[in-house]
Amino acid sequence: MSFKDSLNWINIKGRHLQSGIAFILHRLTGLVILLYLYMHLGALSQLLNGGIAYKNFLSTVESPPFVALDILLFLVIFYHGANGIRLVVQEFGIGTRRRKLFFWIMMVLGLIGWLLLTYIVASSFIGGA
Amino acid sequence: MAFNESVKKTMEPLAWLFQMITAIFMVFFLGVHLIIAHAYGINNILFQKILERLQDPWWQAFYIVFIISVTYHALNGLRGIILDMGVKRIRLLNIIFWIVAIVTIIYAVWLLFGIIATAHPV
Repeated sequence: MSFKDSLNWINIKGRHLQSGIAFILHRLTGLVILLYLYMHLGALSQLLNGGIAYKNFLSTVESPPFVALDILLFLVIFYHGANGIRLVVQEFGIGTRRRKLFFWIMMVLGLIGWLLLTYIVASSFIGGA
Repeated sequence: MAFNESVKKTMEPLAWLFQMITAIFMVFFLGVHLIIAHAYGINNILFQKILERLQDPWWQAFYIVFIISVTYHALNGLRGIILDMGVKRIRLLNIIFWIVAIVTIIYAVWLLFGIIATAHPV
């Protein structure tokens, strides 16, 4: 495996620019979510230590920097999800003629979903619910 | 021109099919998970609330299917990236993929039932 081959996973040669960027972002966001999955599984083990230990853990992850990181993570998830739904739908032959339009429709829907969740999380955080 | 926007060309047909199926599952499972964990403020992720939820067999089944789907989707996606890099030892890669996937699933299910057990200390 040469160095050139090792970069094939982000190779957009022969692809439309927008489609190529969507492809690279899909992979990068996928890697971020994979990393988070293992961090999340590790963090959940705090629940095994009982209510008090978990409460202390929760007070840390509910601090503003962690909530900000959570909101950024939601953006990554919503991009991967919205673009992923587009890829699945296109597998059924739907939206293949207007790929660019389909992509932007999904991006707008993803953005709306992200803004909605961000608003809910931020308001419950500010409200101290 | 058909744009190659995914790993369809790289993955085996069955692996690709399961990647699609788990992707559809993920929309539902991750969607519900995000709503439950974040849309109700901190109340829904308090220790007692989590324990209460996990006593329900439907939630247990939900999380087991979620764990299997997310693990397969995430690790198979990573395998697709590695395959795209032109790795030669595909058999070894597949063995590592399955070992990591099975260990992850066993750990996550063990964690799930470990958390449930904290509600009934021996």
